[in-house]
Amino acid sequence: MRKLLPILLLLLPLAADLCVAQTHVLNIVCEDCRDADQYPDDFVNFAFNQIYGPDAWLSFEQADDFYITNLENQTVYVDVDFLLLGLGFQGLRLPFWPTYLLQITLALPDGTVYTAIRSIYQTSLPVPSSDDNVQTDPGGGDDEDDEDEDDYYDYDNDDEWEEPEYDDNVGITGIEDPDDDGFFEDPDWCEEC
Amino acid sequence: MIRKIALAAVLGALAVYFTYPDSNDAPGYTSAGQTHPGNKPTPQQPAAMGRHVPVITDDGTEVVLGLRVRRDRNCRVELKDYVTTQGEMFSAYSCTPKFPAPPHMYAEYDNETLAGMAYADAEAAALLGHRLIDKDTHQSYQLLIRAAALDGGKVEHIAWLSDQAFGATAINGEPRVANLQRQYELAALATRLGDGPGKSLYLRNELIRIGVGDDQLHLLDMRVDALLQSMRDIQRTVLGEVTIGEQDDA
Repeated sequence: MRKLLPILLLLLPLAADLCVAQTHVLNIVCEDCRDADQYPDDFVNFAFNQIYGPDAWLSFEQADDFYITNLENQTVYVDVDFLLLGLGFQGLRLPFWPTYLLQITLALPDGTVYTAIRSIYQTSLPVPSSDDNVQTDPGGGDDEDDEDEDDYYDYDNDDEWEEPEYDDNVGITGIEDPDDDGFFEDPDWCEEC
Repeated sequence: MIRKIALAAVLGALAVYFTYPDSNDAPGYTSAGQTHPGNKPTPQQPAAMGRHVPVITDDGTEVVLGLRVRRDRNCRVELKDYVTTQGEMFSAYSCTPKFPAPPHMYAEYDNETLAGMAYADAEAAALLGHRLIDKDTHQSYQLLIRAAALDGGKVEHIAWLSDQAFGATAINGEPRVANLQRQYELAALATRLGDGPGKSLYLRNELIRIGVGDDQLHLLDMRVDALLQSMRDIQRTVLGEVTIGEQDDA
């Protein structure tokens, strides 16, 4: 009993801190965030903007984790990690080099855990993340309807590796000299010619 | 024994008091709005109605409305009550910009006009690339790479493309390999343009960790070479000089 008491006293602050930690997680409203399950990138971009960008205001301590609620009262838990390159050996990992990447993990209302990364630049990311009404499954989900929407990369099947078509790189320079109307439809122009 | 228990209780109470985050230290403010996902938040008297007395600290932060926030922010911290379309009420914090963001200089231009300008104008190419990011990822990819080339190899365009088009890296713990591959390509390209190596090294390690083999990584590296060459071609054609890559032939 005599030994237990000092141990209890020593652990009490830690226990108290753990108990109150969650109650002090901040709840921030995002008026422009759409449905959390359908547009998680809205929340990712919004979370990023609270930490970086011209309108950043959260201290780094608070930015570790917080809640975001949209106007539909959908609350998303946000966990933010600064990614560091580490030296690893036998499961031990010593972080030593900054990657300037922010890993933002969302716990969505439907239970999905959505992880995304963002590069750290002082720029404001768009919220909503897209201005159209229909967004494809983020990150290339399993929705088969998306198959024909984009033939540049096969986002929908991670397991099926296809050798990149290097001819496609011509497309990088393939924004052709516009015609008089400003269109790029004339394919005869050649940048190398 | 009773004395010891009393002493423990007093010490415990003091410990709780001192370890309690000082977000409640500001006088006259409530801690409303701190809610949990499962619990319906209880509307409370908005603390924003109270007297605004920031408590300034020496670590670049200050306490406003019971929150420790950055002192160099450009927005006004508020705690508001909201009513949803279903009639539910909740309170939450927000930071409203003091000044609205200035519109992009080409914001009024439609996509066709921007497409015409994108041949030689980095800003037009970037803006159109942003607009098309979800509607036409392929075109957006081309435009933002082009914007980076025209902008002297500015990696912000590439980072934006990487984040917005291929940002999702895992869903329920399952890695999105295709996205990680595209992210690695673009990060490696940014490194070749002068960005730090940390991002590309991290993503390369992640790809190796999830089982992407050396042959596939080699293909990705070849794509990076091709992308860089394409950017150099754009510069040579439009600007008449090449300022990016290993050797300048300006």
